[in-house]
Amino acid sequence: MCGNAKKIGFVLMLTLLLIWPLQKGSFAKIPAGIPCSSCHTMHYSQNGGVLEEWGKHGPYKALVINDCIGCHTGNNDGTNFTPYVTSTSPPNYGETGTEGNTLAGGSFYWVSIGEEKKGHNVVPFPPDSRFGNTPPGGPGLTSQLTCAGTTGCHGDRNKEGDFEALLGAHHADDSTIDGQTVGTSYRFLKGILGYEDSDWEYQPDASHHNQYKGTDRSSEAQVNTTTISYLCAECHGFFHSGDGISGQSTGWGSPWLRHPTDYDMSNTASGSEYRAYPGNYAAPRSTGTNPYSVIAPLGSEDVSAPKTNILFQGQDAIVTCISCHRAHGSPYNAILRWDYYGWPQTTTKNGCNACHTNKD
Amino acid sequence: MVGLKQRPKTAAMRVILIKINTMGLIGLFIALLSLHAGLCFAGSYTDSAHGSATYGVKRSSLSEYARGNCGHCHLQHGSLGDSLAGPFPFALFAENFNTIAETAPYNDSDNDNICFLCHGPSSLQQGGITNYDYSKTFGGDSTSNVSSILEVFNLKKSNLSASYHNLKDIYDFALTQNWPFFKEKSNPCVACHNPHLAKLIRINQTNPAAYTAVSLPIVKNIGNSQENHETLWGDGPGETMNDFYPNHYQAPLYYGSQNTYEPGGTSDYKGTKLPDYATFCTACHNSSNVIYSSELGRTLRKIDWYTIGGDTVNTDPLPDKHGKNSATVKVNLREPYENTLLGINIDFVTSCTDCHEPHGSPRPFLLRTVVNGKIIPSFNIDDNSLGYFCMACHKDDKALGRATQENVWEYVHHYDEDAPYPKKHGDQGRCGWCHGQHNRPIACIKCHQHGMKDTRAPDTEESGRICF
Repeated sequence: MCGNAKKIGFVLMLTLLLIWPLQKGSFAKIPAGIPCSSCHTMHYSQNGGVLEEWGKHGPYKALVINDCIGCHTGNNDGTNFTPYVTSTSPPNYGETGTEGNTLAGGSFYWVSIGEEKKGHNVVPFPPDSRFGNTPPGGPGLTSQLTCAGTTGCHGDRNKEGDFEALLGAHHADDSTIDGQTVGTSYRFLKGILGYEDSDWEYQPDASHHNQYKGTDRSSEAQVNTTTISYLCAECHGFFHSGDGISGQSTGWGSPWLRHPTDYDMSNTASGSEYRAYPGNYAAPRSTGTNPYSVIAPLGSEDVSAPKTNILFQGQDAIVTCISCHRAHGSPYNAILRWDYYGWPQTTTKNGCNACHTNKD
Repeated sequence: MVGLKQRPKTAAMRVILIKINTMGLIGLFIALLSLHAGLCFAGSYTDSAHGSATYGVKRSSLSEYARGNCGHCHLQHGSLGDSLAGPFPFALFAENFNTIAETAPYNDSDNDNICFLCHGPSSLQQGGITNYDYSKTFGGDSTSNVSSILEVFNLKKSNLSASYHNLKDIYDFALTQNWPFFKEKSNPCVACHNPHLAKLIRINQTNPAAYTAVSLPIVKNIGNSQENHETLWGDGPGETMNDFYPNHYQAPLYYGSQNTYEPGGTSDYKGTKLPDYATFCTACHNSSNVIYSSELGRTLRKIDWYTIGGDTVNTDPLPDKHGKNSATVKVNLREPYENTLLGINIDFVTSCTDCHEPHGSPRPFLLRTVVNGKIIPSFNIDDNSLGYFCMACHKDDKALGRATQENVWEYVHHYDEDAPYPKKHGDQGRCGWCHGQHNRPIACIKCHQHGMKDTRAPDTEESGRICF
């Protein structure tokens, strides 16, 4: 090959390499206007019948065409403007839910087919046969878990019913997530803060991912009601707060009685295994020291933008419930993000090792 | 939240992104180079006895968890399904160590120590765990008749002469050392073992160094590497008994053999596959640490296993000749020491495990039941029957052809060319100065303990020699 051809080839290759990472972020223009009919129907009737894409148990409140699960069922492909949280066919979760077509919350698919340990057992799926309506680590709910409402995760829990609890939120200006309203709360989880990835973590990478709100607690009794872990603790409280987390007679730290959350690993010794985060689990397209992991993500107090690297200063290495679990469902027991139960026999992937780096 | 939010895409942002991506590429190249250089996080836990996918932890009751999985020992939320089990420190499934359990026997049903729940006769581990004592595992045989760690700690239950490494004493001592890994809620077993690293030494009798189960509680620099509790001890360069004092460690004979050696009965006579237990044990049992033994009701004798200089040294404690210090003239040793291939006849060093069990023994002072290939008859520590133990390596008068009975040491002490108390003609009355009016043998332990001279002898008779 002559010198010029080599140069051209090098330039082409470099150009491709530079453009390639941009592709993911350059296609996603929001449609100029989503027609109202994409979500609403005035009479739950069209040409004297119910359209195929509508739910079959209407009419629905707020004149929508389906219920929560109905609208949010589908296959994510990175271009969809509705985040699909379940599907009628097996989603491509992969080993860690970061490279296929599931989103940050995972998928209810496995619960929907009766694998009750692999998702939150929300209506319309059957309640958990073992736990009933009593979430592990907390008191019993008054009725089965729902997407929103008094026994739900999303929306205003002072209001009964999925629709009532979320009313108006889908139309709210959520350019600022301040937790003041349902619409301006992280993922409509009222009061919770966080940075929302634009495609709900469809195939996330080091600079495109949710940034979960955490807090650097100084005691196990301390509560910050804006963190993602606090949201979980509203049902699974024993696992987050109270006197059963740290085994220290005074203070907040090891020996832990239960795995800590809302604990900043920056408080660990500088030479500890935790400072080697994320071990072998760096996010795609990550660079530098201690890159963020989309497999075992850490929370932070500052959630103005996604963290590309963990600096172990400024409260950016905070363990959250979401560091290990998916909120909706996963192919694994206890809604874990990876096949913890199978490790180390059937898989070598274990997100625990993103923090417990010496145990890999 | 309904719509897909745009990623930054203004012209200015694109320039920034391109710059970021250029930096990213550089970072990628660096990362690839790093991987090429072998920089990755090693699988130390999965290589361990507990973490192995082949033979690791597997509680019978937890069928959902893979073998080797953390969940067999740790409950991340202090509960298992709907049953709250604790919570216990370190998110373990049971109490780590019960400090009320001050002495043996330890109880596995009362959760005295979580380790015993698997390393006991009623093991929770699928199929159980068989752990023989050191004598049997690495020496070839034992008379302790135990097959679990708990049983060896509890030998005192059936044998008043038995001894064991008192766990509460270890716990109390460890807390005073400010070791970063040892906390108020720690288990005394971790003073010696890192459960996330310890390897399956018990089935690798011929190469325990490569499958070592111990980690130093202290920091020690070996060459360019630092050994500490987060590393295994014995598996690296400079960490075997041969390394402790090169060409001075003669491995004892394997049980019943005249030409194979501990550990495991191989032809390796230099301890190149035996972890440097001298360094390991003296991390605690050294010349400075004050260690209280609740079994003995006193502090343990300090041990100097390092200093050389023969009998001229007068430090406190005196340096042991079973350590690097040496006999000054001669010592009457049996095989394999007598004609060792090391090319020496004095100046041997021994490993603590040549004489002592690590966990417990039916004999006092954790002394082994099989030493240098021979079963040791039971003995009393307070009389000269301890000589049966010593004569596993040291020649008694019978072995020297000077007596018909075993365990007679008169020639050695009084007639040999290097005898410390040479007998003179016509001084029979002098015997009683040491042996009493009935001229009885003296208990070995009166003079032969770690760091001891024969100061018990009358001033006129003292040899001035270091006697251990």
